[in-house]
Amino acid sequence: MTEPLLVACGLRMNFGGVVAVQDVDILVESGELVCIIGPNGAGKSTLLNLLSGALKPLAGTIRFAGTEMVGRPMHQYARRGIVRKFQGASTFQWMTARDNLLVAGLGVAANSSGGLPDIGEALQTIGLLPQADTIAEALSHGQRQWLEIGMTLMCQPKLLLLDEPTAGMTVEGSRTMADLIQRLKGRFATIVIEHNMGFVERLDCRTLVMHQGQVICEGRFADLTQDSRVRDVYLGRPLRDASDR
Amino acid sequence: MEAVVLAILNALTLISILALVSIGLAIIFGMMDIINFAHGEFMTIGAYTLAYIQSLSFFLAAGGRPWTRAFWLALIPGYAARASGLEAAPWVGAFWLALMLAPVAGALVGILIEAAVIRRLYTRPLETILATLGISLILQKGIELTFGSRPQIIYDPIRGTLPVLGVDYPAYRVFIIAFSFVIITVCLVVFRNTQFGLDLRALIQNRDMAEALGINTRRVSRLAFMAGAALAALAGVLIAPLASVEANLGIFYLGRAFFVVIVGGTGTIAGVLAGSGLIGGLETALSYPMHPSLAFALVMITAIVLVRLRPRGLIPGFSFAHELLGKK
Amino acid sequence: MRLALLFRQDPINRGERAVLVTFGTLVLAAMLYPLWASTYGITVVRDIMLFSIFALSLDYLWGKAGVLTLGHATFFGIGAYAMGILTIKVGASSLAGLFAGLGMAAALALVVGTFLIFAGVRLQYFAIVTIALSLVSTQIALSSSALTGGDAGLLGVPPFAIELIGARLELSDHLSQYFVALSLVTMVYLGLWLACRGNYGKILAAIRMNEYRARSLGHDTDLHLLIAFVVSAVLAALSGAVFAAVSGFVAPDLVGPLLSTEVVVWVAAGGRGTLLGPVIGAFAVTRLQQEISSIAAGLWPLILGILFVLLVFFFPDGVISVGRQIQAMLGGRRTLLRRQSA
Repeated sequence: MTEPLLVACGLRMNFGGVVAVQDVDILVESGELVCIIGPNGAGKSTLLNLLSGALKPLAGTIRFAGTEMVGRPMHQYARRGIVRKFQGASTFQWMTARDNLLVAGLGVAANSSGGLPDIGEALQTIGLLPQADTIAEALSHGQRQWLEIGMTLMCQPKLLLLDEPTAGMTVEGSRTMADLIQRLKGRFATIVIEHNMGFVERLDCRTLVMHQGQVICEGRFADLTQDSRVRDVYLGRPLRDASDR
Repeated sequence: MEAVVLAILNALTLISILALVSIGLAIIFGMMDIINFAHGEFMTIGAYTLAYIQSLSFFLAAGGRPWTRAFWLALIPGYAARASGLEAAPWVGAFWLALMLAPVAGALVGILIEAAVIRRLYTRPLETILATLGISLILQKGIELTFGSRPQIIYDPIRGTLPVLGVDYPAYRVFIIAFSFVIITVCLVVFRNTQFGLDLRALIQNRDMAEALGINTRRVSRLAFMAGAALAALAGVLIAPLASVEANLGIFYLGRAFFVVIVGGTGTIAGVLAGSGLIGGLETALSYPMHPSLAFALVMITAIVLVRLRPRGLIPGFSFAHELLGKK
Repeated sequence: MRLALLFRQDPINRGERAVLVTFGTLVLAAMLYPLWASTYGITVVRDIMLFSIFALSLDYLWGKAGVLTLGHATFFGIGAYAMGILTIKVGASSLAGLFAGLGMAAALALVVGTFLIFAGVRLQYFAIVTIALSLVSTQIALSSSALTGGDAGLLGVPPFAIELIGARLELSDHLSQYFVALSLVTMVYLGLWLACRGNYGKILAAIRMNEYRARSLGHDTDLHLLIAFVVSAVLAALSGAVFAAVSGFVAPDLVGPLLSTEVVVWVAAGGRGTLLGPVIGAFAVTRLQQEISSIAAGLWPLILGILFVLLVFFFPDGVISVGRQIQAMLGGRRTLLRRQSA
């Protein structure tokens, strides 16, 4: 059996005295789709920060495609194929959508042997072809979210990290997003952090539940909705002991 | 041993002045991450206030119809200053009057700058640098045109020496150290123990949140700015008898103040004290073995190295830039 | 790094053609100027052209890459002093002086840049450190009188001369100096224009707008900024070295904070990031300075200060943006007016 694409073990991160991520292990196979859910403050975004190289963990290892990633500069993560879409839309405001995609692709393409992905095709995928020459600042929030997705796709990712991709989108937009992610499944691995349960249900994949910095359970989404621990965590009730069930 | 005590006292004098000048800069820098390049000019204004009052007093002492003359001279500040050099006993009260009036003058100019310029630019730090640079040039030239380009003559308000730890140290310098200590203690108390200080600290940590909590951030910022300007003006009065009072007096201290704030950490008074201690102490220590300008250069280089090693300062405060850089 | 991809360019569009035509017109005017100008006028424009190169170097660093420095004259001064010291004190050739200046500027920029940029020092903090740099350089220039001539500087820098296989080419007359300056500014302008109009320019723009995002997309932003810093330093030193060789003197104010802030005004007044704007800005502001200084010596810093404030509030995109706004109005198209922060 080949080694999974991403093997992260024992990840730990503190902010001052607060433990944000505590002994988290994550395994993701090539082309697999994984969701992470959990209440606010569970440490999901911090985990994503660690996996994308934005933060250096206090302890733990991250092996990606066989290489140890901890300690490498952030741009190396993207070049090796771990690409992140931020919460909220972080685009290059004063450049056109087309140029945003171009710059996004250049980071990886200019330093590897592959070519630059086709920008027109990317615009088509994210549904912004008519807005190709509009400045990002002039796009609506939802459109900017799509532009961000497009930018991450231009980086030719092997592992895509999506931080609340449907935030600020309409129901229609969320559905389109879910369809896109389903379509791309198999092409590359994806980790999605989300609060939108309808969206997560639609994705129907392996799901992890985080609470106070730890992964408390995982499984298919349908199974998790039945799990009383998950319900407790979301309702703010203290976690019942395993022996209680 | 004597030399060491002397060195320490000299260092303390410089540190005291630096701390007074830097507190205003640190609070503004910490609050809004903007740099006021004209901050040094507050110091210059303080020094020139003293020069002006002292020169006025000559005319009062010169006889004739002193009050009418003084009235007209008050309207043309430069005239009095330019014409000073008359041999007359300086009125000792001039210094104490200046000590009270200079902070007011500084605060007034400060509020003017804040209202006209800084208030409109507080989300754009680099534009603020350019605009305040312009203002500092305007102020410097303005002062020079009003008072003339010759250094102003300042008379020592306190003569003689005091025995301090076995050394005869100039009484005036002892006064500087003691006075600054009192003022800084007052600042610390205000910062830590008053409502205003609490509001200020909240503003420094998170402006938006402070506003959401009902703190009148504009009023607090304005008051803090005025206070900082007043402190710098006070420092200007204190340093005037020891330095060459020219239009560019502020620049030398501004440069040091920047590094005090950056090295010490923005947004806290403790940081200012740490930074002042380091920069002031180092410069004093280095000016013994070598030429003072070379000492200054070395201190600058050391400060640059420290910025690199601890980008958040010795006692880190809160600042936009670090959020911007994604540093946590 | 795949350079072909990095510098790939689209064909020249209409707006760019207008810019090139404007530049070409200026060059043409400059070529014809000596026909009716006095010797004095020729030396003035020659010096301004060299200052334009200095302005271009800052525009590349600040306007394109987004790094503001308030001590750029440090590098100008290094070029000038290297040329002066090597040709006067050591008796070396002008070329040696030139390369020494370029090399030292590059070395300093590399050291300071690596030290600061790779540590994440940006924005105001970077600006303040560069001021310290120019203050330190001024101190060094003032105190090592034996080497640098101290307060008075160095006089009698020999005119630029190149010796090749026995033949000696010397630029001792004003006209040849003028045309060398003109060709240098043309080459630097075209070089920067070409380099920055393709993908590379877009990457720089992206770094300028949102460095963190660029980094998360795989761009080594620290390296890009370092390269911009070093190249800009070398260009500044080039203009400084040639300036020393044609004007014949080197003084401490060539390395100090006043010149450093003046070049910022040239770039800001002309139009940051436009390359053409700073050239025009250098001309306009330097001429203004000369006129004012002849009327009332010492009044210039006051006017300079007022200019700074005006620029920030009324012309944040420089004078050239006025041209663009007129163009947009005439064109009738709804264009989003670019407002960038410094």
